[in-house]
Amino acid sequence: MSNSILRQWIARAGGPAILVIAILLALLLIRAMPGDPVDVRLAATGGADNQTRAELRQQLGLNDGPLQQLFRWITGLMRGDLGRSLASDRPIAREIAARLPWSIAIGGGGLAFGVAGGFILALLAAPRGGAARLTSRAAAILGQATPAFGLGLLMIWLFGVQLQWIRPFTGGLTERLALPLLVIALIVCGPISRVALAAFDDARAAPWFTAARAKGLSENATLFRHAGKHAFLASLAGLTPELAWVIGGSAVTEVVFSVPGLGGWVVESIGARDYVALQAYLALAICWVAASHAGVNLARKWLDPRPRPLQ
Amino acid sequence: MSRVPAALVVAAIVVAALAIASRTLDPHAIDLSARLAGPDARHLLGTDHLGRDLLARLSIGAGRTVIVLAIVLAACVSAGIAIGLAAAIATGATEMFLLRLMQTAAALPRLVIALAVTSFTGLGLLSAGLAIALTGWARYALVAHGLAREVMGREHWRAAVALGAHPFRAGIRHILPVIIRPMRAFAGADGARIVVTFSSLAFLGLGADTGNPDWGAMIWEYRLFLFDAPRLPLAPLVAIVGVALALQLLFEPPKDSRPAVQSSSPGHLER
Amino acid sequence: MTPRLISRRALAVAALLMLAPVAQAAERLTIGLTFLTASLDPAEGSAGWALVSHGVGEKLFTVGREGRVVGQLAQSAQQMDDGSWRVTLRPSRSFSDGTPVTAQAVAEALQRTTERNVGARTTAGRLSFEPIDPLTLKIASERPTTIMPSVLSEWAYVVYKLVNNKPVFTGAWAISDFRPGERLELTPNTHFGGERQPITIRRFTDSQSMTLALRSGELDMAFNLPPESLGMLRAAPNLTIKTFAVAYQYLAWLNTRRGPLADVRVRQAIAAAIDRDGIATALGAGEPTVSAFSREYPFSLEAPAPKADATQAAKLLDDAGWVRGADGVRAKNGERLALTLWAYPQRADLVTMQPILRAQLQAIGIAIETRIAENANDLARRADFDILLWAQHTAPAADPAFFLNLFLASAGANNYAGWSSPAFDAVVDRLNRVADEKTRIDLARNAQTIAMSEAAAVFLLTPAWHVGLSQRLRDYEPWGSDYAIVRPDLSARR
Repeated sequence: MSNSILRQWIARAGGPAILVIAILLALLLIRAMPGDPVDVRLAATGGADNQTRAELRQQLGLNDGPLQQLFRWITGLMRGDLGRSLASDRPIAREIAARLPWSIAIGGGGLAFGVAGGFILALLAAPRGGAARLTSRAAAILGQATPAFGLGLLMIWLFGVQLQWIRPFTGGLTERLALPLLVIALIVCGPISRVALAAFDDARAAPWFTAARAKGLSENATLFRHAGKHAFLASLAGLTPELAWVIGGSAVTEVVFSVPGLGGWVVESIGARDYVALQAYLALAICWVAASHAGVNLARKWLDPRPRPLQ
Repeated sequence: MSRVPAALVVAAIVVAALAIASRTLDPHAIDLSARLAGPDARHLLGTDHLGRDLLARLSIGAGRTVIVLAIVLAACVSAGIAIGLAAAIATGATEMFLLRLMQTAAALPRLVIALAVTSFTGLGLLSAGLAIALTGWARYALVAHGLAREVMGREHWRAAVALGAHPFRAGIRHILPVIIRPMRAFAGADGARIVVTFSSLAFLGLGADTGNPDWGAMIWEYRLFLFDAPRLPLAPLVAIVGVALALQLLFEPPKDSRPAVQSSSPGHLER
Repeated sequence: MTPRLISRRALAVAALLMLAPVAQAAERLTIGLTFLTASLDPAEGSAGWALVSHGVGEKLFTVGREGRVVGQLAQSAQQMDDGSWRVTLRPSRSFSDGTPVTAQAVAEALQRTTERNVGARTTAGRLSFEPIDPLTLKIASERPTTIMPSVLSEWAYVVYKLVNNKPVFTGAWAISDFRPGERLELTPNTHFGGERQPITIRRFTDSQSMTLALRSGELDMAFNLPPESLGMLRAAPNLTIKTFAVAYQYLAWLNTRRGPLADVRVRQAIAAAIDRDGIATALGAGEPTVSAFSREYPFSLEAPAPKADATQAAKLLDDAGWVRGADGVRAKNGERLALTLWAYPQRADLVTMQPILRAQLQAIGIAIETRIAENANDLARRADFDILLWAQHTAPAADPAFFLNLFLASAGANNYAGWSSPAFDAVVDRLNRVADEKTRIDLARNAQTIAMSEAAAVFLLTPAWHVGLSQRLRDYEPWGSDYAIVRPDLSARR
């Protein structure tokens, strides 16, 4: 019967619907964690008697069933209320607002610099062989093989302690952001440069490229002027997988650099069994992936108005 | 295979041989009189701050990394092929639904999900492997689905279905053999990312077990010795990068095949 | 634009990023900690404790350097015949906004705290505060107590005043900016007396990052450095590392509810086999102990910590029927003597101790599996462990009753070992009712001796913590564990 109707519905509403399902599944998963936030909360205070614990449970609303708590959180969410942290008792919205700028600067900034760096690397490598090409390839491979925490640690050691160029922990905003940004950018720029380089190579093999060269343009100018957009579009496409990676990658980086961003916060929240914080974080992460994918697709469409086959 | 990966493989074999040789040393034995000792005939890579043999500890980490890698790959490949094939064969609304599910799961932050899961299951081999596979399978399923679709456009598939073969049986007979090889290449390339993800999990160390030194956990434990005894944090870091690099190079697509830009192709779904 | 030009511009941008101004305010002191108050309101969670530690808050009473309760904002306390207390405030103390500290203000704040913060009601239940005259308070408690000054020196009872819903404190520094989870900016409280520098307290998610920051010259003080860092830091020029004894105790809970550890002889064997000196060596500091309390307290047990005695341990295990097998592990009736040994990462020292204890116990034929619990309180409460390493400030209010009641008595809420001894309970019961200090000391020691003989909690070490100081702060003497990190005498050298 309505297979086609159902299919249409899934095609149109399936994305958001599965997004919601994913969020719900993630939330239930979090709730399944054993461990009691009350104990974590009271740990700092040297212990408490059973009455104290019972009162705190009541106060935090932990006596209700998990589904009930989840429902309460979701209804709150619809009113724009993210709830209060079980660990710190502060409103989650305030916790996130204080940390989000750091994570956006490191994650978003790292991605932006990574794309720019990858594109430039490809542009430099395209007309040449040898060293530049090798660098692009090595960056791509090393970027996938090096853990962000290892790279971060080496940078702290080199720039912070040996050379003392920078104060990575207590310096000004630029100083504190520079190294984490660099870590993300270095790891991202490899794969991007490879995709962009492939696009440049494509262009060079195309007949119109030879035609452009014949008009007297230098190879560099031709590459940049005529193949640049093509390669940039390819870089944007290459960015998509990095959009999800950057969440985990920047979390590890934030921990290494002691940056008060969302990543460090979520690691602590997991340890503290702070369900409310984790729910908000996961919802936010999933929304980021969805929104950034949509953003990249929009940018590609805008830059490249050619019609594309669906999916 | 070019010379670089061949050399790496040889190096890996040498390291593994050394590690097995050092197995005679107890990786847990404390010797407070030989703390931070340099390499010598007995301790090939020296000892750590408690006088434990570094190589013996590295070798345990090596074994664990390989097992986790195997678990993740086994889970991802089998689930990925099963779901990807099922989606392609089912067609219609089911296919659309499964496709959306794969895309969503592929977009989830792998490390954070695995971190949340292992924080309460503990960082055991099986739990760490399954936690990484929890989101990892989706990429494999997308690849398998894409490949299956391709096969289904070909003549022999149409012929088989026209002759009345059950689609699932036909799928196993006609599609599976074709997609196994490209899936293997994809899995090999994904292996590097898995090794790095597992090391990140161990580095953050939620639910970790000190008795089982994973490479990531060793870097966390030893990172202050970057000054006094740099070999302590650098040895496991070199091990992680080395293994990931070897996997990358071994399964890297040949030079002339460029990474695809189409949004559903494997090259696009790195990480 | 040519590619070359683009790359040159990119390089220029990168260079700007790298060489950002490294100017430093001359006066401001920067302190690194691994914890930071979660809130500025003492009625919330353990904020009161953190605010005192940060040099912002003060209480009516506090624990002095010698481990005794002394007046801070209060001058004296006296118990009335009806069991309630009269507390007299010091005259001429003021909040950081210049208004005087009156009995009215204190009563309002502490009443709010005791109503809102469950942690404030642990020892004596709810308190009620009533101003009698500008400098005198009447204080009554839900459960009778003979040690009200001690109760009032607990972390929750920080004195504050709400001005426009923002708390104002009395300590030597006042808060000028607060970024939760990140940093706290302090300016000297001009109404406190004396000259001080402004301070930034930076919070680090882990002690190793903090160490790296200290090493790269970013901090004037880093508190509680990991032992692994000491070699590197001592070699660094311009840093002074000080090591000081704290009132925390490191101990091992032996789960008496199940398995081989239900047998007192097995527990005694473990207690005998532990080499406390080896632990101290690995941690780089610390004093071996068998007492539940740090030596600075008068009620600490004065027995010397014994050397490890593997022969005695082996004999105890033999007597209990556990015989060594071919693989070196003891067994009884086909069951191997295998135990889990837990620690938690929030106290890095405990994790360092784990492999050492593992080696020591394996030497007497016990197979040990080491595990890390992210959430130690939860594990302890579920009693799902054999041996659990633990760090505890056992006398936060300079009184022995708190720890003995809560952690060792049969009905104690935190009786993690599941140990029950009528003799011990009787002694603690008397302790709770006696006010005379001399008798209290005797009873406390008596209780500790009983606990030691049954080895339910094996006390290992009074740790010493390491503090790193820059040239400017190299004269500062740390004391008071992590309850008083920023004290009024913290000041840069001229």
